[in-house]
Amino acid sequence: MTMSKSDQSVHKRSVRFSPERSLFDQLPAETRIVSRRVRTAELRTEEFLLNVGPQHPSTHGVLRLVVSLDGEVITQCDPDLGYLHRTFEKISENRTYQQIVPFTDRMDYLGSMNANWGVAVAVEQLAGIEVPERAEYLRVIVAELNRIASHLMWMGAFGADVGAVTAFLFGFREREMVLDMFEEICGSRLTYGYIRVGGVAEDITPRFVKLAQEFLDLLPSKLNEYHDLLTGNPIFKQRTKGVGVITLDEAIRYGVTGPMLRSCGFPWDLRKDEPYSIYERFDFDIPVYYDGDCFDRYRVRMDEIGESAKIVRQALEGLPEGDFKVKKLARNIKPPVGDVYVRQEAPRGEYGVYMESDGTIKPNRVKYRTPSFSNLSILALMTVGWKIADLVAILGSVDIVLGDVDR
Amino acid sequence: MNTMLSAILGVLILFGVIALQGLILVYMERKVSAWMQSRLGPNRVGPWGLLQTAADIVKLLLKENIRNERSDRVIFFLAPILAFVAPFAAFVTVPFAATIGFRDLDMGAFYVFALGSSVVFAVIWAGYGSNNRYALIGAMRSAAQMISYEVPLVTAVLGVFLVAGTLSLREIVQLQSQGLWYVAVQPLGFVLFLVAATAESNRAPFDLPEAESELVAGFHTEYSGMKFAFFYLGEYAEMLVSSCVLVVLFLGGWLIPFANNANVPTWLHLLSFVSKVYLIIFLMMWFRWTFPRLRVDHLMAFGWKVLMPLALVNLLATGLIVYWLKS
Amino acid sequence: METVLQYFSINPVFYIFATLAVIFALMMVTSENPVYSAIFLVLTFFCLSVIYLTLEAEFVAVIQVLVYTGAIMVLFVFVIMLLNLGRDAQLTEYAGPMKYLSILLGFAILIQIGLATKVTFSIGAKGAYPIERVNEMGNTEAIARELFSQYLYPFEIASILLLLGMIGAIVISKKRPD
Repeated sequence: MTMSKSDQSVHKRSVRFSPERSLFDQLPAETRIVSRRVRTAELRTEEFLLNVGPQHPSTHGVLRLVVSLDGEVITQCDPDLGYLHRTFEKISENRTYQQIVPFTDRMDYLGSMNANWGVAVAVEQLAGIEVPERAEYLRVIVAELNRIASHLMWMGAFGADVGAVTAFLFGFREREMVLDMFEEICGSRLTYGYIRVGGVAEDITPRFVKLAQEFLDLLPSKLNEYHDLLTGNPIFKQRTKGVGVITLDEAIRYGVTGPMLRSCGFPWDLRKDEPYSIYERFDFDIPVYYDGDCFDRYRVRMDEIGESAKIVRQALEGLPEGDFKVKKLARNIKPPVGDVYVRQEAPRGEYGVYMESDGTIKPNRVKYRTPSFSNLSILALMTVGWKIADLVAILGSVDIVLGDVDR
Repeated sequence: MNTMLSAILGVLILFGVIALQGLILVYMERKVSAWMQSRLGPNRVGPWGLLQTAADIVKLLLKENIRNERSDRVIFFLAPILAFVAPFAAFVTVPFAATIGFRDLDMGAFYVFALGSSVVFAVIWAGYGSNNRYALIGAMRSAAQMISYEVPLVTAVLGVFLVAGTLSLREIVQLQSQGLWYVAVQPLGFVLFLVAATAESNRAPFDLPEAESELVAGFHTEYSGMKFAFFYLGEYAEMLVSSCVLVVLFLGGWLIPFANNANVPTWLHLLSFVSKVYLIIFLMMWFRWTFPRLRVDHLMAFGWKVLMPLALVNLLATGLIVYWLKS
Repeated sequence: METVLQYFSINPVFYIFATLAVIFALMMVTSENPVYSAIFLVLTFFCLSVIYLTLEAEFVAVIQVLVYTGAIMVLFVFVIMLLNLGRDAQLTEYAGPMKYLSILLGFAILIQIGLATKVTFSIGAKGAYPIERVNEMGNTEAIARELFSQYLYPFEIASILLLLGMIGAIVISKKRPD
């Protein structure tokens, strides 16, 4: 160990690794924390440093995890971020207010509608733009459909993470129907750019409504199919129940939000607790479970699919006639000087947009609070003491989108 | 010299058959998985995509053989060979029909298990020789898994041996022609053997040495081209051989149910044997595309705390009943 | 030399595998990497089982592979890999002058074996189970009859010993500081 005393006191992320020597030798001693769950055995074997990622089938993108193993048990897990960093905050500060929206598509690319929505609302609040009622309904419909698609995708990926590859295809099959609907209204299947400042891009078509009805009618039977395949499966339960437990206290301290927080027994959902848009008009429940393990995260998300479907159904029924966007909107919006923080419930958790206007056509400062990033920060705590197979399951249960983590 | 020549010819024929079976099984696996996942599966090369696997073999043959700079040249080279040779050699003792088969060994079943247990060395060598940490973890898992599942595997079969009073595979089939198939006599043994055999051939949900989502590709992470193809072929050969043994031990081998097997042409016997084997293989594929993967400690616990006691109970009960019937 | 060739022509398989077994055994002892040692030991066992086959002792041959290579050596390799995890941990401890003494002793034993086998080489005392009888009743049965009648007590003692070993291993691994 050639590291000096002062070096060691620095936060462990600043440790410089030299490529000539093995990473394990260079790791400062105090970073190899032994967790509360690791029993100190008399016969200790050598620790084993494993680089999971950036290219790995189960890191859901380009996440790198430096994992210390004792046999198969994880003694330390150190996420290394930034491989997908694209400076979206800075780019947003150099675009006009309307131009920002398409970039948010690329942050949480599985929940683009929600990502668009936050920015649109932030700009609208800064500039004092009133959005027509029909646009609000359309926003809710597409955002909730997007939540369903995102959770379906997550279920598939999580199934694949624990080894049930078939679930992956099942999730994709139904997600495909949602993507078809989105293609119908905005021509795009991944990066929509549908929710824009002052409303939405296009009005929905009769075919969209038909597709949505078909999808909503089909969904309950498909949900049962997933429950047959995964929820009731003893191996799946063994792999997820009691695995990667976080307490409510830990979750709150780490700023964990969304389904992960709700799986710890805290019914915090901005759609209910701080109702934005027109959410208070709909009747839906917030699924809450209390164990805070992978299985409960799974159950929260599966239940949320049903609740979102309920919202979409109500919104389609109550959809008022009218404009789908503000009739006259300046080409370049110049909001008055001021700042705004908008937060919404994205599929992955609390999505926040801070925007500061200096009176010009571009924002002075933009900051995105993305749920994946905050939820990922607790990974190091969750995985220590679990097996390498659990690392994959726990990481999967966090539901990260690397574009959302690195921005 | 004549015996030598016929032996070589026999081995060549066997190799041809196994390789062809490998092609068919890969195609079948793809189609079955596609069917279970509501996809189409291969459908471009040849009619119904039948030639897809052939095209893949050509691709693998043409691929560059990549070896890690600090990998162990000899071990890295030997591992895929052993992975294929061991299950391949196990076919020597399998009786395909009453008159078709290579050599009926006195302890045919044990011979198959012995070769099956040497496959683990291919995995360990591959893991150690590749100089890759995922491969090493895969190898370690494989070692632990093979040890743990061999014991219940053999113990489960002991019941059949007790009932039959012989270890010769051919004789076991002939004994089944006189009475019930041993699946009816030894239902627990059948289930235990099926589970343990799935684990022995590293098939999902026991595919921990490969564990695609955790260990990238486990022990064969560093293999490409033909060497990878050998691992692949070895896995299918092993699946084939364990299904063959299962059919022979429990499902009456080449016998046709509800028929007078004495005057049935050999090709019908062969057909019966092959269709039973494929049924078992389909079952294994069904497992793979339905179940999530077990975790390593659950795997161990399942092997030692569930399979092993059950196998022992089965053995004890069978022994007592056989003793009671005989006395 | 001539006699060697003569023997070789009688049973070439035996001589090939016997030579291989000796070579692998030597390589097992001399290789510095413990994983290599284990691999050569496995190969030695394979050669031995082929020799058993030439003696028509099929059961012993199969059990040799099943038990020694398939189970015991896997555990060996497992432990070696668990402890070292890589090739940098090589055996560096040397026996010093003891090495030469052991070589001398080894040769002495070799010569002794050679002398002993020369006398009774191709004759071999015929026991209660000559090849013909074994072939007639089956390899497995022959062993089983002997093992479970005449050698029942040693067999039971061996199994009790194994059970003790198993219990001991469990007790040792269960011990925890808390």
